[in-house]
Formats: sequence, structure tokens, C-alpha cells
Amino acid sequence: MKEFFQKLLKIDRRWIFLITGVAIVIPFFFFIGLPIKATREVRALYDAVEALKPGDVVFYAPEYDPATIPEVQPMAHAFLRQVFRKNVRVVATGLFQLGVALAEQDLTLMAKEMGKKYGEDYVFLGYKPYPEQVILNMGEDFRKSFPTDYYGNDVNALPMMRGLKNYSDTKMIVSMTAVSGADYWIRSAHGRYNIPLALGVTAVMATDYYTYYQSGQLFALMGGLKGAAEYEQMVGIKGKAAKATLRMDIQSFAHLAIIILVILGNLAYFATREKK
Amino acid sequence: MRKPLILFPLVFLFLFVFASAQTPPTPVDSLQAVDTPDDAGGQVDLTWKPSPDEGRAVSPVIGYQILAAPAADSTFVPIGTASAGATSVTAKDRLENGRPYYFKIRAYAMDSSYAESEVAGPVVPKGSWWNTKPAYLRIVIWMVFVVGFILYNIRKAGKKELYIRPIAGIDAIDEGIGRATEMGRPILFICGLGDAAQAATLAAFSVLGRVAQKTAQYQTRLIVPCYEPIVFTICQDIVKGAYLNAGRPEAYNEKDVFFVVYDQFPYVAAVNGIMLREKPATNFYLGQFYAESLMLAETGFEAGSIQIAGTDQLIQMSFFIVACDFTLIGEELFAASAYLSKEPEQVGSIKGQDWGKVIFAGLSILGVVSVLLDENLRVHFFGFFRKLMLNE
Amino acid sequence: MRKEIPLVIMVACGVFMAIQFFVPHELPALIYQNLNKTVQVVGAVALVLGIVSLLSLHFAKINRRQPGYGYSYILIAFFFMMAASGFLPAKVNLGSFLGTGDRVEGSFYLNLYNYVLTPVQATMFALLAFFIASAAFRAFRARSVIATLLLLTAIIVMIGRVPIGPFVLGDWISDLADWIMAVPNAAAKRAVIVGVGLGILSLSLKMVLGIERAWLGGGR
Repeated sequence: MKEFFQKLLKIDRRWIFLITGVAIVIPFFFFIGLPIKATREVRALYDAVEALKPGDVVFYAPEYDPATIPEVQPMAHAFLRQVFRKNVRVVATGLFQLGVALAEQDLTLMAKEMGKKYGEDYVFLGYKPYPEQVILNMGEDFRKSFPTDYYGNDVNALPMMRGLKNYSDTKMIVSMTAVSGADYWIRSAHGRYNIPLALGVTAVMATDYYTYYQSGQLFALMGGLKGAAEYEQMVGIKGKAAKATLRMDIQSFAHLAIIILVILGNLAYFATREKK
Repeated sequence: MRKPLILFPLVFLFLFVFASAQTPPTPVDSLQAVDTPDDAGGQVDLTWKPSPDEGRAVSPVIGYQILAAPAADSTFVPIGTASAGATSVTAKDRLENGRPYYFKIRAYAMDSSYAESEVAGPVVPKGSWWNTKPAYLRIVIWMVFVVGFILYNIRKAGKKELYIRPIAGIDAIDEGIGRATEMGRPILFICGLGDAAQAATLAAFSVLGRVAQKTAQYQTRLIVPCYEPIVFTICQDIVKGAYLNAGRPEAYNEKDVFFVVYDQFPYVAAVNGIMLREKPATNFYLGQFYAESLMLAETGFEAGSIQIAGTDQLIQMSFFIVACDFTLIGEELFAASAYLSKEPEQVGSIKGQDWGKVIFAGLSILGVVSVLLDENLRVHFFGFFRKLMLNE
Repeated sequence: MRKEIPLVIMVACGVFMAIQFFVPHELPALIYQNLNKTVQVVGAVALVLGIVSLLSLHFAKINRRQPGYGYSYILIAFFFMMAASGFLPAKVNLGSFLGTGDRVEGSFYLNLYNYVLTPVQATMFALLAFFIASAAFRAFRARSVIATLLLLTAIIVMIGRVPIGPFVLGDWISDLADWIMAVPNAAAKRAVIVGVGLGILSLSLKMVLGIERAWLGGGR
């Protein structure tokens, strides 16, 4: 037995990779749909959107790259479905160079699904380098950084942009982000212009932004796949479209696998230590 | 018999005219216009008392139109709207700084009749030279206090030697260089994924300067793969300068300080490849790191390198602590250059920083006490202080 | 002069940047914007230097037939291909497999983005799960009381943050995990954030005062 534990302590890390891989791949084929309880910080965003009136405008800032699609895209889709369902209008930017294409794809896809029209129900302003500067400029006037939108249209020619000057004409800023740009929104949009701000971030980032949620600088915070799954369930997305909910099962098993590995590692550690 | 037939449409016409007779609403009262404070200009705040006809039974007021003109007697043009119930609005459109404007509000009733208020103005919109909002005042007070402490301590530092507690991670830097020299293997130095304006990157520069000087003396190879183009040019300059200072300009190899790619994961792939091929004796990870921290550190561990990390990115610290031999936590990274140089001015700045922390802790305790007293005993302790600290 | 001029620029910009934050007037905003544009220009020039450095490194590798020089060919080829995809005129059609020069769905550029960059990046990021598993296996050992605390906390958070935890053990586990995240975790982070903030302030001051000069190259 001790020999086994000694071997276990010196195990090639590729075995660990294999175990993790198996724990991730197998649940892919069996959807259990474990129930997910909504937390306060996620519900806050859902409730805030529900409280909006048709015709209100929200500012939406998706900033995530292909690497973080699994975590962040479900949030983005669930959020856009909810706002479009409420007939709330969306003005969006994509201030992360590797995420502009994704931001545009999400908006177009969701708008098509919900039957929304570009220029009337939503506007995509696109990308400009140096995000913090752009965020500050938009606090004065969206046109300062974006005289034209992503597609090259004159912003003033878009019906939705009439009477929409800066953040103060929107009800909230919601950023789905996987980059440090989240800090710029906290510092320069909320800090300087005092607009209610909510973030959807990756699970790794979530621990960082809890402090801002508690201090009230964020009115809502969605963290990782779990936050996305909670949101999907609140919005009422079901079946294959509820990607985060599906993936939560996988995450459950991956976490279990890691916990079992850690316990085994500790057993081996104590078993071999006694021998010494 | 024909008369009633003629009368019928007449009565109908009369009724129609009577019913649709427009009854203009009462206009809004006491309209006031002032230049919006604390802004860049081009905005005017308007306030008014709403029309009493907002709630009347027949064709109530349904909204307001804001009109502006450059002179009281010239044509007023619409520049914005406000919904019924509103008593204020910030006019933003079509107003230029430095020109006078007159305003009036048109109250619209449901039957599209309207009434105009009296003219307010002239108001000249202009930009403010100082932001007087409490949030800004708070930051100014903080800055003055903490900067004052740091400056005071830097000035005072010239006179006597100050103590800094030992920081294991910084002490390990020399060990790491020595190890590489003994083993005849290179040192890998990564300045993180931040740009040159970020404090963590700047702190990494000062450590890089010292490491390069030592590697020049010991003739150990130093590899610096860079992520950000500006950081890359600065790194080249620093390493070159250090080799020059050490009197070994000929030992500097331009090809060892190079730009890799300005994209996170390709960068990781490239650096991990370098680690596995070159098997560096020591890896330095100093600066800003994101999701790549653990990938780099685990690969470095696999390659058998001693690893010293330091970052101000909270979440990545935990990954570095798990996978590296030494980790500089947050401010320790910023203290590194003072610790290494032992220059009195540098050490003085750390002391000033510590004083800042003392103030912060003190104020936090005061804040907690004042809130507790307020909420439990209704004692308004430090009312001013509360107002200053909270967004109330 | 090589060190004095940059220092003067540095001091002027540093002081200006600190003050402009408090001034809403459009004049400092205009200067700020122009300074930022300058940074963009410098960045663009530095990018060219960076690209020259990267390519010369790989050309040298090929020239000297260093081990693995074949990969340098691949790097150079893809480098130029990705760059060229962005410059293609809209009318160019490279066939149904490669795509068009237009910037819409099905263009060569977006095909490279969607079918090369996206899967490669997602794969790289996914590797993190495996690295975390192996690091956790190695590092989470109950060696001391503190290490045991860390281990237990990690297990509670890991199990409490996924649905299987509350499903099997009840809601208390997720409540406990949330409490750990919201209270002890946030408290410790705040303390570090304060330290980091003060560290940044002090470093910036040292730079503005010219005490810290590493960025000028070679130290004092």
C-alpha cells in the first residue's frame, strides 16, 4: 500500500491531466441539469433590467476574446435576450481588440433572434484603441470617440442615437469582460460619471471584483460559468441554448475530480510521512 | 320634413367643434437656467415648477419641450424634451461655450395644444476649472495627506538610516543569479503583460536593471522575451545600459531581448517553449500577469527552474504562491528597488507609504465605529466624517 | 542631456496627468487626448521595432540552421498571411475555402479569426484547467495548521460553487462558500489593494521626483 502511495506522490503530471480530461469529457454526454440557486449579486442585475421601461437605453460593453467564450458568452446572450425581450434599447462598444468581432456577432445574433432592428433598437459603436480614454470621452459625448458606428454609418443618422448624448442618457452600464478593462469602467465610467455599473467576469476575476460589489461601485456582479448559469435560469433559457447550465454539470465533475486528487495526494503524503 | 335633416349635420358639426376645442394648458412656472457646474461646458441646468395641468381630467399635459435661442427676441428652436412629472433637465444639445442662451419650456397637452413659459436667461455655458463634487474632494484630501507623508519621509531620509524588514523574495534574487552562474544555464526574465505605464511593469524595470548588471558581471546569459512593444524597447535599453555600466558592453546580445507577440496565449506558448528548450536556472516573473501566470509557473517548475514572481494582480498572486519558490506580494514588488538599492530616499518613500497605511487603517476603524454608533445607538458620531467618506 | 530631457518630459506629464483628473474643463481634456494619441504613435513605432526584432531573430535562426529552424518558416509564413488578410481588397475572392477579401462573414480574415485563432486560443486557455489540477495536487498538502486551513477552504469553495455541492450536501455548503468569498477573501484582498495603491503612488512620486530612474536605462 505504502509503495502505491509513494508512487502516487511522484506520479507523472500527465496522468493528472488525463484524469482531469476524462472528468471533463464524460459529463459532456450526460446532461443532468443540476439545480442552480441564484445569488444576490447576480439577481441584482436581472432585477435591475426587469425594472426598466420599454424604450430605456442600457450601455453594453462586451470585452472578451475567443479564449473566454465558454464563460462569458452565455452571460452576454442571456443578458441581451432579457433586454431585447423587455424592449430596452442597447448601445454597445467593443473596446478589446480581440473581442470586437465577437461583440458584433453576439449583438447581431441576439437581435435577429429577438426581431430587433439595427439603428432603432440597438447600435454598435465598435472599437477604438486606448479604452480608458474612450470611456472618459464617452462620458462627455459618444460622438467624441465615435462620430461613426462600427459599420461606418454617421451616428447622428441613426434614429436611436437622437437625444442620446452620453452615459447619463442611459440607465446603466453592463460590461461582460474578461480583461483588465473592467477596472477602467469602474474607475472612469462609474467613478467619474457615477453611472450604475454591473460586470460579468470570468470566475478567476470574480474574486477580485467582489470588493467593488460590496463597496457599491458595482450594483451587480456575475462571476464565471456559475453566474452565467444563474442568469440563464432567471431569464428562463432552456434546453441546448442554456449553455452555461449545461457546462455547470461539467464543472461540477471537474471540481470533484480535483478534490479527489487533492485528497489522494494528502493520503499519500501522510502515509509516506509515517514511514519516515 | 326636410328641416330636421338639414339641422342634423349642423348639430353634429357644432358638437364636433365644441368637443375638439383646444384648451391650452397652464405654462410651467419659475423657470430657472444655470450653467451646469463641474462639467466641460456646453450644458445648462434647467429647473421649473411643473404645469398644474399635468393631472387635469381633460387633455392633461403629457410632456415638455425645451427651446433655446441666442437672444430673447429671436426664434426659439427645440433642443430637447422632458416627460411629464419632470422638474429639471440638463440641456446638452447645440449649446456652445462662451455664448449667451435664452430658454423657455413649452408644455404640451394631449390635444397637442401648448403653452410657453416665460423666458429664462441669459446663461453662458462654460467649462469649470475645478471639480467640486465631494467624490473629488475626498480624493484631493487623500492625495495631499499621503503624498505629503511620502515627500516628508523622502526629505527626512537623507539624515539617518531606516530599517526595512527582510523580504525573502528579494533576497532570493541574488541567489537565483548565483545559481544560474554555477549551473551555466541562462536566466529568464519576464516583465509581465502590462504596458509601460503600469506601475508593476515600472517596478519590474528597476529589478531588471539590477539583474542585468549582475548577469553582465558574472557573464550569465539573460533572456528577456517581451510582450508589449514599448516595454520591449525599454527592456532593450535597460539591459544594454546595465551591460555598459558593468563595463561589458561586448557581452550584450541584442537577440536575447526580443519581442514575441502582443497576444496573451501565443506569448505563453512561445515562452513555455523557451523554458523547455533552454531550461533556464532561474525564472523571474515580475509585473502584471493574468491567466497565463500558472501556465508559465507550472512549466517553469517542470523545467526545474528556481522561480521568483511578483505582481500586483491579486488573483495571480495565489497561483504564483502555489507554483513559485518566492513571491513578492503586491507592494513588496514596488519596494524591491528601494530594498535592493538601499538608497535613503528610496527607503524613505517606503516609510511614507507605511504612514499612509496607518492613516488608512485608523480612518477605517473610525468609519466602522461611526457607522456602528449611528445604526445601533443613533449617536451621530463624526457626522462630517461620514459625509466625507460615504456617497451620501 | 540624454537623461535630463526625458526626465523633464516625465515630470511635466506626471504632474499634468495628476491635475487633469480634477479639472472638467475641455482644455486639459484636449491635451490629455493628444498625449494619448502620442502614446498611440509611439506604440505603433515600437510595434514596428518589435516586429523587426521578431523577424530578424527568426531569419537568423533559419540562416544558422539552429535546431527547430523549420518552425521559424511557419512563423514567418503565418505572420505575413495574417497581415495580408487584413489588407486584401474587398473584391478579391480566394475561393470558397479561403474566403473573400470583404470584411463580412466568410471573408479570408474572419475565416482565419474564427477557424484558426478562436480554437487555438480556446485550447490554450483550456489548458489552464489541467495546470490547476496538477498544481493543486502538488501544493494542497496538510503540512501545517495553516496549510490545512487553506486546503479545507479550497475544498469548501470548490464544492460550494458548483451545483453538485448544494445538491448533495444541502444549501449550507454554497452559503458557506459565498461567505468565504465575500468576507475573509474580500477583507484580505482589500488590505492588499490598499498596499498596492500606496505602492503605486509612492513609485509614481519617486519617478516624478527623479529618484527612480531605472526606466531611463541602466540605473543611476
